[in-house]
Parts: sequence; structure tokens; C-alpha cells
Amino acid sequence: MKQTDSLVIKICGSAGDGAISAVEILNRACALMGFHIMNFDSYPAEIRGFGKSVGHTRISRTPLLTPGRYADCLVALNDMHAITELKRIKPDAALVYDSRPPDYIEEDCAVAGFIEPGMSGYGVPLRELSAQAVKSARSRNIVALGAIAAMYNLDPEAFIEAINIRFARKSAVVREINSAALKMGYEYIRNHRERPVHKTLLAVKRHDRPIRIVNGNEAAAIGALDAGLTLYAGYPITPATKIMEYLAKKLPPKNGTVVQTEDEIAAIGHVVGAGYTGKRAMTATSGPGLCLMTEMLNLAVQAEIACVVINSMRGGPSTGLPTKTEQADLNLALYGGSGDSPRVVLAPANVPECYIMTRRAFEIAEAFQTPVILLLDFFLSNRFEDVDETVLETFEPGMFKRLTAEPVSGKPFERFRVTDNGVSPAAFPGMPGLKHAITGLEHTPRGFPNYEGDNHRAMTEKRRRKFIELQNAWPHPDVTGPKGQLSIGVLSWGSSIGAVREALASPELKGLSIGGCFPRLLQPLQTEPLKLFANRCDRLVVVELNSSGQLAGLIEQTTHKKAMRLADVPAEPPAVEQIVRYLTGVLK
Amino acid sequence: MNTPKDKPHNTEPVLNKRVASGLSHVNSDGLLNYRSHALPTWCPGCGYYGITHGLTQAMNTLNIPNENLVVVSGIGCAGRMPFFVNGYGFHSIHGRALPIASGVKMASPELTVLCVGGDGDGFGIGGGHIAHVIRRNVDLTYIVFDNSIYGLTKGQASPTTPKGQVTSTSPFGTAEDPINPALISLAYNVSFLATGYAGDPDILNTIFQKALAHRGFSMIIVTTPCITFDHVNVTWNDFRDRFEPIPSGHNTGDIAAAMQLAISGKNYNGVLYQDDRPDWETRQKAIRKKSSG
Amino acid sequence: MKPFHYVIIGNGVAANKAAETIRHNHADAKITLISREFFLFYYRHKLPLYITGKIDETDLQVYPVEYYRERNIRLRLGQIVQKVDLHKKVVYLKHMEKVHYDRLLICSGGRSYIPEIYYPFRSCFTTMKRLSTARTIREKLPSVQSIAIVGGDLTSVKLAETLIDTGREVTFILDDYAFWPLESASEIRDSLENALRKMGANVISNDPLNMVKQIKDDDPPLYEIQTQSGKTLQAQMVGAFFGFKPDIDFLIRSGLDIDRGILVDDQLKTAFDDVYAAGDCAQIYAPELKNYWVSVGWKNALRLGEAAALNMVGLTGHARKPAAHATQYKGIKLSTPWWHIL
Ligand SMILES: Cc1cc2nc3c(=O)[nH]c(=O)nc-3n(C[C@H](O)[C@H](O)[C@H](O)COP(=O)(O)OP(=O)(O)OC[C@H]3O[C@@H](n4cnc5c(N)ncnc54)[C@H](O)[C@@H]3O)c2cc1C
Ligand SMILES: Cc1ncc(C[n+]2csc(CCOP(=O)(O)OP(=O)(O)O)c2C)c(N)n1
Ligand code: SF4
Ligand SMILES: [Mg+2]
Repeated sequence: MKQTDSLVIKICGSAGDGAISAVEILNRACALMGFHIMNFDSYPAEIRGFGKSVGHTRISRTPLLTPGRYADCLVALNDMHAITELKRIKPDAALVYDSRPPDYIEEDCAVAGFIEPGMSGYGVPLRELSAQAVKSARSRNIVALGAIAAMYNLDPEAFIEAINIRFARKSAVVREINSAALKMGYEYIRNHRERPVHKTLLAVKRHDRPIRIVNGNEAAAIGALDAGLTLYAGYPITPATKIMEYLAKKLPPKNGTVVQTEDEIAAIGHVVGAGYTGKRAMTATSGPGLCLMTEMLNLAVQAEIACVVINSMRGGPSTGLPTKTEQADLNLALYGGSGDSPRVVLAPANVPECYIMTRRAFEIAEAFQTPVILLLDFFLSNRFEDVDETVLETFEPGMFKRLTAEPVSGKPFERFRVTDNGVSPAAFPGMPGLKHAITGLEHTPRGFPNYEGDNHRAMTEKRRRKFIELQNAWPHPDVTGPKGQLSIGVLSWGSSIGAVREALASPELKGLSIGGCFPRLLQPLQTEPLKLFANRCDRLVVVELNSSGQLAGLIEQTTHKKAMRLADVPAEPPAVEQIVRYLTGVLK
Repeated sequence: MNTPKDKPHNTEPVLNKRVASGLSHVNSDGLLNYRSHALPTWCPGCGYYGITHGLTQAMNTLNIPNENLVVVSGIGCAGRMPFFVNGYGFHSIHGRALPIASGVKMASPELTVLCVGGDGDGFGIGGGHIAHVIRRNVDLTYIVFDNSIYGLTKGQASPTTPKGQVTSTSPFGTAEDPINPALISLAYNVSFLATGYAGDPDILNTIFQKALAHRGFSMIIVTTPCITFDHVNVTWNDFRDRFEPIPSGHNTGDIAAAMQLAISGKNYNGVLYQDDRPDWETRQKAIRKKSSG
Repeated sequence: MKPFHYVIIGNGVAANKAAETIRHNHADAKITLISREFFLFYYRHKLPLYITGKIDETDLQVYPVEYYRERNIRLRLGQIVQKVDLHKKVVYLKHMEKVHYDRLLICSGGRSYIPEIYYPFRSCFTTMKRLSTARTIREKLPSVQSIAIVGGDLTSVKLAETLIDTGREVTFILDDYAFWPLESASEIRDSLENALRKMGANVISNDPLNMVKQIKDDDPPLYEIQTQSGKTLQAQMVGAFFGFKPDIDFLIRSGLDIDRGILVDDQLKTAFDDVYAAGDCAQIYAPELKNYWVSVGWKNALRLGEAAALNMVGLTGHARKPAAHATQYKGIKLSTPWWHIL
């Protein structure tokens, strides 16, 4: 029987079949057992009530970089939907299906009809066992979890603990009958299969560190809360809405305010207004909303107002692919807006970084009096990882600090004083002796409208100069791989970094002369370390989820070196297999 | 290649007799003329089906040439409508359907232009456009599918959500009062206003016929349940018996009387207000005349 | 329009030859093969070599999976036909799926036969018809030293040979059923006995089995065997080899005429239009004999599969009862219309 480091499990059903909540329980159980998890579900439609939902999770003994693409185990809670997932399973995958549906199924509509040599079919009377346990078919998902526990030698007690956590707010009866359903699935496999175990997951040590299972959106929202957020203004849009929904619950108890505005223009307006008064405010949106915000972001650049915008990217231009992932808003984030409009753009690579960088974003915004755009994407926003709370607690605030003005008697306050580092001491309404006016018009150091070339040049330069300090203070991009000259240097950003790192560590590429370089700060770009890396590489390859190679273009500009592009828009997270294939091809 | 000699390769599917007679009935009443081949993606039980039924009846009665029909929508569940109508359709962006529809009508006045969208689309993000399309009195028929919720994004509060309702973005209940869209439109001085209910497609049919026949901007606010995300306020149960006909004796030319109805707290099925001031195109004609004369 | 659908129950030699023939003559038809076994089509006669580890699973395979992809033949493997409705033209699978056919061919072959008198001991017996059982035997074999074979049909001779080759002790308890599928057993009894002895097997003849029981539930288990004369011996595995009988239980109540196999005419058609049978499961009418004969053996199954397919696509194929031919196997002189030494 096969042993494995990590397992990919997909549970597939219609809305209401409980595929997603089964995966939640599975995640929790595995975290309790000491495994790492990475979970990325998919629902193709925005409207609920129809359609397929696929819970997809990967379990491993070592920290995970990607959720994996091909499943070791596919659980069919709905046959038709599961059939469409068959192209995403491994050749030796196990298929768990209902062996006793209430009636015969039409031809080619039964997933068990597609089991191929190499695969293992695990027929379990999901409905019947569920009916025995809970008097309805509702807990088929839990029965299936029991089967999974038996198939992969996982401790059923951990699952029961997870069920108790999941249904903590339900009655004890609900917990009991679901635990019974779990045991039935478990026992069924153990008693009815000659070889119950499909694969064995190499064991891990149980530990009792507090583990939170959060996705990128939640991590960012928690980061904002911990940063002391005062106001959140937003307009619902997939995949950012969850940030607002989370904060709507958690911010009011902390004396903050969440306001759902009539549109994104109003949302960023509120944030800019709050920022003007020196409070921490944020909005989160996706591409179409960021488009609407550009004018207001311009105002924040011009009037030097701190604000934080999370942009969780989805696919395509316009309404595009609202529930699919892509990394094609980089140019919009970097350049969107009229005039020279510098702002800070950060792209976290994983869930813990969503927390850290959101917290840090507020410091940057205040210290440099600028909009900060955090680029998440559908994948990162929605993927769950196990996060060790003790790691979050080690965040050290104060990397960047705001410079506040002191009144100097007899001298008029210069809100936009041209300083060496470009940062002018700030003042906020309510502060005596520092009254001033700000405007979106070009202005003098005191904030008065002014259209002179010299003034405009000085102000434009000052607004750009502010970022030199950030460029220097920010940690250099991660560089991996052998030292010295490299055949290929691979660059990537945001949520794609994980897939690239996993590809570089794959048996096919391990030990070859390939290195990686992974910037998080995309504007201002850290030119020097990037040039150093590029100079060590015979060829540069940039991996990202957009078709034009948006980071690649930026890298070429900064390093003066041609970059090959693995720029694809598959409407799903990048496939490690594709990256490996591409790099192997480049080496040949 | 050889094929079997004596046995037919395939037999035509034989329809169940009842289904077949039902289908021929539906075919003969002409309603399918205004439905595209795409099946609506709305949740089973959504009020939008009733509105669609009322609309197809109206268009069928007026015999609007399909090729002259343009349906412009914003984003939302309601915004999916153009895909299900047999005519020209434009599924645009969130909140901006009215300006686009205005452009269509201004450039090609011979077209029948319908504009549809949800309450979020129309009164939230796009609310600013209503006043201005009313000022111009562009000859559009604007149907607002008012379910008091953001359906497509899964149940957030909308501008017409009753105060205190718990939604996913207002876990402790909304703080805002809902707007009264009928009153607002009257205050903006709309030239045609009707209200109706998705559960009464036949009455909607007559309302839509009047609206389509109206020369100028006509606005119809249809109350409709979102069965998936609102189990509290705008539900079939709540509204089944709550719509009543316009009181007899109501003068549809009297805007103050219409405002009285709009603030009465009751729900009316029918036309509240209508006048015959010149529409955009008529005004343009006058301007053109003036400019060339 | 839906393509014409040929459904073939079985994935043995009859089924595969039929599928190939249908595809050759009917390029755009849909063809589905259904087999309860979870393996690609394989050589059954090589199972003895596989069991003793002389060859591997891949050596058993007749065609790779690409063969079926290229020919656009849908393989439904590991799927069991539970029943058929020949009026509605539906095949019902055990995992609760319906498969609709336009024309059906049944090639369900045979399964290991255990004579009624030995039925009470069936849990002690190991049989060897399918790869799945062969796999289990192969896994158990390393710890097995002594093997008793009761019955002793032709398939067991090759097995005995490889078992002895690999240093195991083999005892044959021959009896009347021992010579399946030969029509007349007496003529080879002596030469068979001699051949087995020469190979190094112990042979008990004229003293049939009386009883078998398991006396140790270990790895390996231990069985005690008693003959009618009261002789007892012990073995770690008891192979039962009494030949095969048609595997057609799923056709009970289907309305098909069944005697010792599925009754078909000499064009392999059953009483139902559009339903045919071929291979080990069929009992075929021979007009020249005015009687039925049951097919056994690889080559016969192949010919019948081809003939049935020709009729199914609208051409003509006839089943001919093969004439007996003389062969020699390990000094055993055989005259058989069925068996070809493979
Ligand atoms: C060990 C061994 C050695 C042999 N040696 C020789 C030899 O040397 N010479 C010789 O001529 N013959 C030999 N034979 C016999 C020969 O293999 C058979 O005669 C031949 O395989 C018959 O082919 P078939 O296609 O009719 O059926 P089979 O090969 O038996 O195939 C039957 C198929 O039907 C399927 N099936 C049955 N019931 C169902 C159901 N309900 N649902 C789904 N699928 C079903 C099975 O899965 C299988 O795929 C030997 C057999 C064995 C087992
Ligand atoms: C600029 C922009 N912001 C946000 C969205 C996300 N979005 C799509 S539909 C919708 C609200 C839908 O509500 P409503 O208009 O009432 O229509 P319903 O779904 O109820 O019919 C939102 C917020 C978007 N598409 N574009
Ligand atoms: S979510 Fe609500 S509005 Fe949207 S289709 Fe479903 S029921 Fe209708
Ligand atoms: Mg709505």
C-alpha cells in the first residue's frame, strides 16, 4: 500500500449537499492531528441554489505551498458534478460514491460508471447510512468523512472532535448523530473492504499550539482589526465581500464603523475622508471596483492622504470571471490614475502574509502619506491555511512611523513642506495651530492651489521621493536556489509564488541550476536586489496569471534584461506541473 | 462501412402526450416568441420568473418586432434578463444601465428600449442616474426588480432593505432606513410610474403594456421575493395578499395624489402617475428645428 | 441523433473479438464493453504462470488502454450487470446505473464450477478463474508449501507444473469431474495420471473427496482433507478445479431461454431480436446435429464472438461446432474440439 507525504481530497456536490462543510470538518480534524492543510474550494456561479461546489483540500505533514491540482480521493455527493471533476484526479485516485442510491441512474450519469483501471472505487451506501444515523440523507457528507478516515488511516476521534467544534452552537443531539454518521462511514469501510486503506499519510506529531484555519480575506481583515481600524467602507464585490462581512461582525464591538456605501466611488471617498482626519480606514474591492476608485485614489496621492485598499483580483476585464482567479490587475494597481500617480503596491504570497502585510500597510500609508494597494486574488482570498496563532502574535508594530507636525508659533504651517525625504509632517483636523486646507489641485507647500511649473515639478518629485526610504527599509525579495551563476532565474509574485517554489523543489528540477526571486513590494520596486539577481541568471522567466506578462514587463524595465513569460490565464491557480514542464523546456 | 440492414439506427424521441399537448399550447399562445433559448439561471422559485412571464405577455400582445427590441441591464441576478429575452440585449456594468440605454435610444429612436436591473443596481450604485434620465424623459421602459436585497452577491443589504434586517453585511441589523423609490421618482417628476408584484404576472402584463405604450421615461417598480437570501421581509408569504388595485377614482394625472398613494404604506398594483409631456426625441426635434430655423 | 449503441457484456476474448469486428464494420456506432473484472482484457490461460510469479500483470494484458481509446470503445470495468430488461432494452448495473442498448451481445463466459456434492466445503476452496483471485493466491503463495488439488481439470495441470517447479508439494485428488472439458474422460485418465506423477505430483485416484475442513486459521491456514476411503491428508491450500459453467445468473427472469447456457441459433441470436450471445456462456444450435452444443475454450470463443458481431452489424456469420483435433500436452494425449493448448 502506498505511503504519501500529502493527500489531495475533493468532495463534490450540489449546493446544499454539504461538500464545503465536510471539508471544513476535515481541515479541522487534520489540524487537530497535527497536519498542515491548504484548502481551496470552488463554486462556479455567484448565485447560490444551483450548481456544483467542490471542496478541495490538501493535507500534509510538511507546510504546504499549493493546494495541489489532482486529487488522490474524490467524494461524489452528486454524481453529475463529480463526473465533471474526473479530469482533476490522479490515475490512482480513489472514488467514493453512493453505492445504493434510491433509484437507478440514467446512463453516463453515475460517477461509478467512469472508474478506470488504476483507480479504486469505494462504494458506500452514503444515503442509507446517513438515514440510519440522522434519519435523513443530510449527513451523507459526514458518512463520507468517516470513509475517508478509514481509507487514509486517520484517527476518527479527531474527526469527532472537529464535528463537535463545527456544531458547537448546535444542540448536543446534532453533535451526537453526526458523530454516529461519521462512525458508520468509518466502520463500513473497515468491515466491508478487504483492503480498507487506499494510501497512508505519513504520520505527524500532535501538538497543542493554537491553530487557526483562516483564508486570505479573513487574515487580511484580522490584520486590519489588529492594526486598529476605525472605519471600513465598502461595496460588495466577489471575491472581496467576505472581508466586509467579517468586519461587519467584528469591527463594531471594537468601536469601529462599517459602512456599506452605494458604490465603490463612495467607499473610497469615505476612506479618504477618514484618512484625512488621521484615522485608520480601509476598503476592499475587486477589479471593477478598483477601476471606479482610481479618481479618488488620485486625489489621495495628490492630497497625500493615508488609505489602504485591498484589491482581490478576479478574472478578465470588466465583470469578467467573478469567481475565478487571476493576477491581471497589477498594471491597474501600479499605474491606474491620471498624472504621475505614485502609490505603494504590496502583494502577499500566502495567508499569514495577508495578515502581516495588511497590518504593515497601515504603517506604510501613514508614514508615507499614501494610498497602499494590497493585491490579493480570488485564490488567496479564499484559500484556507492552518495558521499558528503564536506566529501572528510575534508581529512587531512600528516598522514605519507617522511624522506628526508640531505647531511653530508665528510661522504658517506647511502641510506639504518639501523635505529631503519627501515626507512632510502631517496634521489633522482638531489639532490646534496647524489649520490648513488640502486640495486635489496642484498646490504649494501650504496647500494653496498653484499651477507654476517649478512648483509642480518640486511637488511631483517630492511625492516620488517619499518612497526611497520604503524601498530601502523593506526586506529584500526572497531568493532561493544555488549560489553563483544560474541557467534560469524564475520570478513570480503574489499567490503564484507558492506554485513556483513547489515546482523548483520538484524531483524534476531539484538540484538544477535554477533559482527563484520573489518580491512582495511591487511599487516601489526594489531595483538593486532585483538587478543583482538578474545579473546572475542566463535567462529570466516570470510566472504570473495574466496574459501580457505584467510583472515581466516591469522586470525588463528595471533589470534591462529580456524576461521569458509563463503568463497564462487558466482561470484557476497556476499548475505546478505546467511550471515544471515549461522550465524543463527552457533548459533543453 | 456497413450499417445494420433491417433495423432503424435510431428512433425519434416520442414525447409524453401530455407534455406534447402542453407544449403546443404554449407555442400557440406566442409567449415563447419573446423567450430566448437560454434557460434562466435564477433560483427555482425566484420572483423574477413571474416578472418575465408578465413581460413576455405584454410584448406578445403589443407584437413588438423582436429585432427592434433592446434590453439593457446592469449587473445582478436581475441583470441576467437580456440573456433570456429574444431580442437584442446588453448586459452592461453595475449601476450604469440607464446611461447606456439612454444612448441607445437617443441614437436609434426607432428601437423599443427596455432597461432592467435590481434594486441595488438601480437605487444603490446607479441611483444617481435616475434623476437625470427623468429630467430628459428619454423614452425608455425601466423595470426595477426590487427584492430589497443584493441577490447576486449573496444577500447583502440594499437601499430598499427594511431597517433592522439582518443581512450578511449587517449582522446586527441594518442601521439605515429604506428609501421609498416610488416617492423619490415622483419627486424627481417622473412622467410614468407604476408599481406591481411579481406574484401577479397578469396584472404586470397590463402595466407593462401601458408602460411600453407610454412615450417618455416609464418606471415600473416590481416587488419580488428573493427566496434564497430573504426569508424575512419580501417573501411570497408576506406579500401574497398585500397588493391591491389602484383605488377607484384615483386621478393618474395628479402627482400629489400619486405621492399620497406612494406614502400610504400600502402596496398597489397599477399605474400611479402618468403625464404626456414631450419625450427626449420630441424635444430634440424642436431644438433641431430651432437650430436650423 | 444518438449513435447506434452496441453493448457487450463481457471483456473476454469473445467480447473483444466482437467489439473489434463491430468497429471494423460500423465506424460511427457507440460500443460499450462491460466487465465485472477491474482489469483490461487478459490471457486467462497465463494465470498459472502469473500466480507463481513467472510473469507479471502486464504480461497478461492483451491490449493496452490506448487500443480502446483509438477505437473509441467505451470500457466499463469493474461494473457488474445485475439484470437486464430485454423489452425496454436496458442493462442494469450493480452501482445503479442504466445502460440503454440498441443491440446487445452477452459474452459473460463461465465461472468456476463446484459440484453440488462439494458445495458445503466451498469456503475452503480456492478457485482460479479470475485475475483478482489469482492475485490473492499469488500474494498468499510465498507462505504456502503444500497444495491439494481436487477435481483436476485441464487448467490445473499447468498450474500444478509451475507449482512443483517452484518447489511446492502438490497432491491431486482426481475424480469424475476431473477431465473437463473433455467429452470422454476415460481415454485420458491414465495418461493424465502418468503425466502428473512424472511432474512430481502425488496422485490419489479412484478415491474421491469426502470432506474438507479448515483446522488452523493462520497464515498460512491449514486444511484437512478426507477421501471416501478414509484417507486423510493436510494442505495449506485446497484448489478446486472442476471446470467452468456459464456465468449467467443475472439473466434469470430475463425471459431468455437458458439450459446449460444461453440458447442461441447458429447465428448466435437469442429469441429476442437484437440480443446475441457468444463464448463460454452460449449454448448453440447446430442444424446438422439438430441439437445444441456448449462452447468452451479460447479459440471457440474468439470465432463465436466474431460470428455474432457480423450478424449484429447486418452481415452474416455462422457458428460451427468445431471438429475434434488431436493434441498432446505433457504426454497427455487429447482429442478435443474445444481445447487448444495455449
Ligand atoms: C486458468 C485458465 C486456463 C485456461 N486455459 C485454456 C487453454 O489452454 N486453452 C483454451 O482454449 N482455453 C483455456 N481456458 C478457457 C478460456 O480462457 C475461456 O474459454 C475463454 O476465456 C472464454 O472466453 P469468453 O469471452 O467466453 O469469456 P470469459 O473470458 O470468461 O469472459 C467473461 C467476461 O464476462 C464478464 N462478466 C461475466 N458476468 C458478468 C456480469 N454479470 N457483469 C459484468 N460482466 C460480467 C467477466 O468479467 C469477463 O470479462 C482457460 C481458462 C482458465 C481460467
Ligand atoms: C463596480 C461593481 N461593484 C460591485 C459589483 C458586484 N455586484 C454584482 S451584482 C451586485 C448587487 C446585486 O443586487 P441587485 O442590483 O439588487 O440585483 P439582484 O441580484 O438582487 O437582482 C453587486 C454588488 C460589480 N459587479 N461591479
Ligand atoms: S438569489 Fe434571489 S434574486 Fe437571485 S435568482 Fe436566486 S432567488 Fe432570485
Ligand atoms: Mg436586488
